[in-house]
Amino acid sequence: MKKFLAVLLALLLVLPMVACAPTTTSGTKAPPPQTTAGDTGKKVVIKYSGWRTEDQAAITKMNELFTAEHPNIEVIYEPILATEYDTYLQTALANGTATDVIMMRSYGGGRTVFSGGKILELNTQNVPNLQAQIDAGIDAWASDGKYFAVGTGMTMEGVWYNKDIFEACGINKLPTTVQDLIDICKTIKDKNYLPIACGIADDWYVSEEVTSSILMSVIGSNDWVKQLYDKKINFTDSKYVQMLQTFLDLSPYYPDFFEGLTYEDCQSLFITGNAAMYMSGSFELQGFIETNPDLKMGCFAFPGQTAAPVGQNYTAACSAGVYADSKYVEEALTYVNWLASQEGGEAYANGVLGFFSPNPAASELKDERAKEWQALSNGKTMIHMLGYETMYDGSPDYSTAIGNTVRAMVADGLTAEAGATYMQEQMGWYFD
Amino acid sequence: MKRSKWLYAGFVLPALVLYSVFMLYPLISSLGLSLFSWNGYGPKTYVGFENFAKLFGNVNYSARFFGALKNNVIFFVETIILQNATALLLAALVNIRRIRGTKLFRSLYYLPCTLSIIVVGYIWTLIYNPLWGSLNYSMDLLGLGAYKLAWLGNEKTALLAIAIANAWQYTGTPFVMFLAGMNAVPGELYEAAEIDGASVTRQFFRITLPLIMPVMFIISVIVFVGNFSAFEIVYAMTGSTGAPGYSTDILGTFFYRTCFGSRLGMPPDMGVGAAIATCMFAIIGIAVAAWFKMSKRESDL
Repeated sequence: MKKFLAVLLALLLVLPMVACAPTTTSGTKAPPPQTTAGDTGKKVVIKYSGWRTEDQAAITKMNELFTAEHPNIEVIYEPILATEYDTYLQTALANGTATDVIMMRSYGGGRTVFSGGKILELNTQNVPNLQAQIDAGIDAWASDGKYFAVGTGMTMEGVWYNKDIFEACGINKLPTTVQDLIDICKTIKDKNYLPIACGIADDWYVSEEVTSSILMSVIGSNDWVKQLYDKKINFTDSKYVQMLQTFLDLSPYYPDFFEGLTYEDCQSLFITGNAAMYMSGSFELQGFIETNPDLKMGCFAFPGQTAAPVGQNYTAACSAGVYADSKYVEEALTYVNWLASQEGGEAYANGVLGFFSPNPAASELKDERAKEWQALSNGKTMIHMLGYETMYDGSPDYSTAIGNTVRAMVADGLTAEAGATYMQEQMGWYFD
Repeated sequence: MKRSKWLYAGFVLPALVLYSVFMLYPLISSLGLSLFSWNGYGPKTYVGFENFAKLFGNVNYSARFFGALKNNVIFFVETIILQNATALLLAALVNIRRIRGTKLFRSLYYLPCTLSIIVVGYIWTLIYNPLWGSLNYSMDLLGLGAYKLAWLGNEKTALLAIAIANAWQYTGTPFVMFLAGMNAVPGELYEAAEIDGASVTRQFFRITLPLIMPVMFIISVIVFVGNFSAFEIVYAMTGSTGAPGYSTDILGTFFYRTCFGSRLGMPPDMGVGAAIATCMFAIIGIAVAAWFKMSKRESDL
């Protein structure tokens, strides 16, 4: 009996070990049957990982188009939650389980990953269609002139508006100047609607959607950005002050307690039809259509100070790079090259609505609302939002600093000038 | 005799292996990592104590570190006061023998402990939501509309708001421990006190409270360790940036940000991250050791 008890106790102690074992491998599914690339006529299965979980259906559909043209290659898209993607990628590259094709962050995030040496360098030999991206001057996925991914999705930032509310308020002309916008806000507020869904609790939302759109309409050219990056001017520059002032001028038309509202709060205010306008980007389109298909929505570029804006804010969002140690580098390159082509670019843009190919030839869109966003760039200088090309590798990074600045202006009643000074103080590390 | 010795070793072995693999090894390797420079992707370079020099010498890091440390102390004090006071009150109420259905209350008060931290964080974010949250809504109903706030968006209230959510979730643990402590107090003491004419409140302060002090001490240690290594609840409610204005930045979020980089692309700095973790380890270790020593001296007296 004693012996039996002893064995039982020992088993109980070991049991947790057994129970723990599967959790270490639960993240990896059994690989689908694969054959070597050399076997002609047999299908090779490659995997593509990215952080856009919401695009799984669209990308899967797009991959079917690719397979129809390249019957030997099947591509499976495996999305990872955006907030966990970078940690996932770090681990997967370290232990050799990364997928064949990898979605790379633009600028700093991507460059850090590329520096690890596990991402294949792309050039016009192994990816001929990369040329279109180089010609368009998009270096978001390049490090010292070495390309590590092709862009697949660029997005545009601007203002969403609810057509029904605009109509109910008798507004039939979209604003071209800030004064127009303020007048429209007054009309909307008088009719007891919420003019602008805006909240400043999330740094990234303040940085990428709210202040960025205003800033690009103020500066109007890439020169200003270059001067700032080259430290010839700093954040106390009059144009930056003007951006902060415009943000403050519009604040009477934000929701109550907007200092505590998150991105999701603002998004739901707009998508449920409770706000007339919402500062965000084209990337919302697919989700908006799925969440509230009945909402009549349109978009316009953030208005200029005195005349229609000449600068348009964009983001280098999604991409595809190749894992250097992949068993199927050739197939992965074929896929990436297709994504960069006119056909692949259009397949992407027509599948993942609101994202546009960096290849200017890939411009044929079907969805009217996507076309509306695309039209925002017509005849305008495209300016990439601040903070990604530089200003991300110190503490606080640009995004955190502008979040802090805007909140300090609202909470402590700082003027735009004082806000700009505080911004410069925080970003001092960059100018040292 | 010899056989039983081996048998004992056999019993200890599985636990020892598990502990070593899942606790000791990660602990030692992360302490070691603090002496290396590593962005998480490329090779590691040995840099000696440079990470610590950066952490305390560079004002961008040191200001954040001491800011986070200060917030951690505030967070701990707020949590322990809220949690212990509530738990003590509830335990004392449930312990009154005349009240029926105390068993139900025992389960109910413990229930939040069993919820996932992320769930608790999410529920409380909804409660605090300035537009449609139930807190501001209730204040309107009570005629307190003028005092409504964006609780998590205001630098003055954000940390306290998180401490309340945290205390709400974990009140169950000290509650159960207090209850066990109270039940261990010999009944004769109360009978004697009653004969002497002591009121219920007097009995509580003169008999119950002094006798459950050791429980109070254990709870403080648990809460201290929990709060100084806290991360999840803050992450779930205000993210890892310490927003608004670093008012909810604690050592855990500062560590996470530094270690894994930011959304904007700030490169991960595993070395400095590990240095922060090492400091957290030292703070917790030293404080707990000092605490135990202090309580021992007290009980020796």
